[in-house]
Amino acid sequence: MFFDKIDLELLKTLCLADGVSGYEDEVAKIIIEYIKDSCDVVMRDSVGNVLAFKKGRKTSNEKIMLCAHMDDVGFSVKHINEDGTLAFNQVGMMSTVLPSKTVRVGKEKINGVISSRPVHLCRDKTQAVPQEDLVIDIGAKSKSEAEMLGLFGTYASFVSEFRHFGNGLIKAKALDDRIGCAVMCMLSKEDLENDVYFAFTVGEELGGTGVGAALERIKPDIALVLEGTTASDLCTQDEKDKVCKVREGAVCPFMDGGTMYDNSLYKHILSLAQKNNIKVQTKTKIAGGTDGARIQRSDKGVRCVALSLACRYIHTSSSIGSVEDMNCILALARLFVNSIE
Amino acid sequence: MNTLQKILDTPSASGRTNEMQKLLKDELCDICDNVATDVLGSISFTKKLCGGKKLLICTGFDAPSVVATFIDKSQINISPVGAYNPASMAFSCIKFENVQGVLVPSSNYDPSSSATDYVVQTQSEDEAKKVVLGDIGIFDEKYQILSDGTLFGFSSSTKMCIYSLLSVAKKLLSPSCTFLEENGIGKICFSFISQQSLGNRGASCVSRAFNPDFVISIAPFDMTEKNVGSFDFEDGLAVKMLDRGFVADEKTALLAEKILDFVGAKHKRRVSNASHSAIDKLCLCESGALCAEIGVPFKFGTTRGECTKKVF
Repeated sequence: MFFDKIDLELLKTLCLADGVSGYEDEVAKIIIEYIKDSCDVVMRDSVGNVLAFKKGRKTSNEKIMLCAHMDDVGFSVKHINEDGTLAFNQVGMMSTVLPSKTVRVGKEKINGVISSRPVHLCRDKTQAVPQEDLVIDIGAKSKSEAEMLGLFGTYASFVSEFRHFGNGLIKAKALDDRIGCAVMCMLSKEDLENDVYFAFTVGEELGGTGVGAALERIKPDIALVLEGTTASDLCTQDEKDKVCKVREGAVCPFMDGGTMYDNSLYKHILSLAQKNNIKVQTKTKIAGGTDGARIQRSDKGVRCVALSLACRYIHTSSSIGSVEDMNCILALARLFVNSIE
Repeated sequence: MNTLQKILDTPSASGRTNEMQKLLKDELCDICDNVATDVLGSISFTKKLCGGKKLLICTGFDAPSVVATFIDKSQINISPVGAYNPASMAFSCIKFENVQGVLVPSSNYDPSSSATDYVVQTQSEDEAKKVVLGDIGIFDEKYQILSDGTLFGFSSSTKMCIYSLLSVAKKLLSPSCTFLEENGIGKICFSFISQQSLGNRGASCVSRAFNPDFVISIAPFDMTEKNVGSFDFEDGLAVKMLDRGFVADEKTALLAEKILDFVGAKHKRRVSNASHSAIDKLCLCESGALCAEIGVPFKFGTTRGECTKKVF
């Protein structure tokens, strides 16, 4: 099998699934169902990572691992208030992006809305509401009614449609990093040159809680991290601060907040892109971090590189990415895997 | 040229340690059994002896630098790689692979600006275009050595750590030396660890690769830290017993002191409440390693005037 384009139906299914850090089961089930017949080994480890192995036409000298994280940003319910609203902790977001967003809470997917302060009551209209003043309103009449639903300690996820948007763009929640998961799922169905280990990890947004267990089991020599990354490419931003741009191709960073990527692999990917006429860009600002930080420093050291999707409004309910950029990531990831000796 | 001067003249930035690796190979290859580099840029020299225990003596060997992130006409936007005081480093020479420039404020000079508020000014737009995004630029600064061995210059304590480890290695591995065997050391590894200035990133990989029983880390020690008691260059090296991340193993600390006595370096025990060394990562090898740390004292850290003193 060979995919020349990203499978948007698969990406849609993955993006619409709830997978807040620590609660990745829904995403894991979709992935396992998709890859179970095409991989030689598929398993879920004790921390929740989905790990898979696919035999290639040959076994490369260095063990190759592809890695993408299943979790996305969201909320955990930390307390039920007297009025039946839910106090929450957030994972990976600023409180400025939260007021009045719709969410669903827990496995029962109970509808909720994050509170906001009416403009009429704001003395300073430019001031953001602090997170501790925000709650999730699930429409309960009282604390006891909310308690009956068993929501204490559970998670909440954004409700956001998956939409084709403008000229070749996709708007959805969790493009970071369901795009990485989608690319790996698709590659697992292809006939690849080399043996590949796939690590769909949990807890990346919590600082990489899952990837350590995956590394202990797989012990790779080379890793390609597939990710979503910050694109701040609107006209309101200085050119130098845009980080990367939507529609400018796959993002191959030389460095981020947690990792100095392997310089030879970085140059190898740029060279593959140039030879095969695939659009690629790098980041013009050091921002963010990936599972690559843990991967690179695991065992005696792992050569690590990343390919990311430029996402506008990353870590919000509506991230935006380009389908063409996604196709570039798919093509480059395949070339990378097949090019290792 | 003496060894310290060679070390001072050799650049070694995080992730780009090739030149320093070459210098260290020239100095140590002949007296070691094996040399190995890892993916993060660390280099380790090992020698097998007649004894049972494995000892790792190591230090970080990279200095903070900058990385090119955006080219804007004749200016190169940069991000810091490791920590430095931008106000102090303003107007320093920056050397990329084939382009030189000067670190200047991107707009008006303000001593409180962050490191990303500075750019590297090159000679021309054509010059700046020669730099590729991701290229590392090093601080191309000169060092001053006073006649009493006091050394001034950016990241001078890291340079002194490299020099100290190299000196220790040469003395311990000299043909007539039986110190290591006498102390039950069966295999020794001298490691120069990369990406130390980025939060000791290289330490755990080095430790896992050698799997030592004991680790003695040589690391910069800020003698101006509060709550560490009085410490002066005249005290020599600091055998650190405690910091925020570790408590030294008494036996390993004693071994470190014996080594310092053997190589003729003055030393004094210290505790530190403030700093955080690489020890917490170095001890994380397969069987767990007992650790101690030798501090190379310095002051005015992360500035152009960083000051340390030669003890060997």
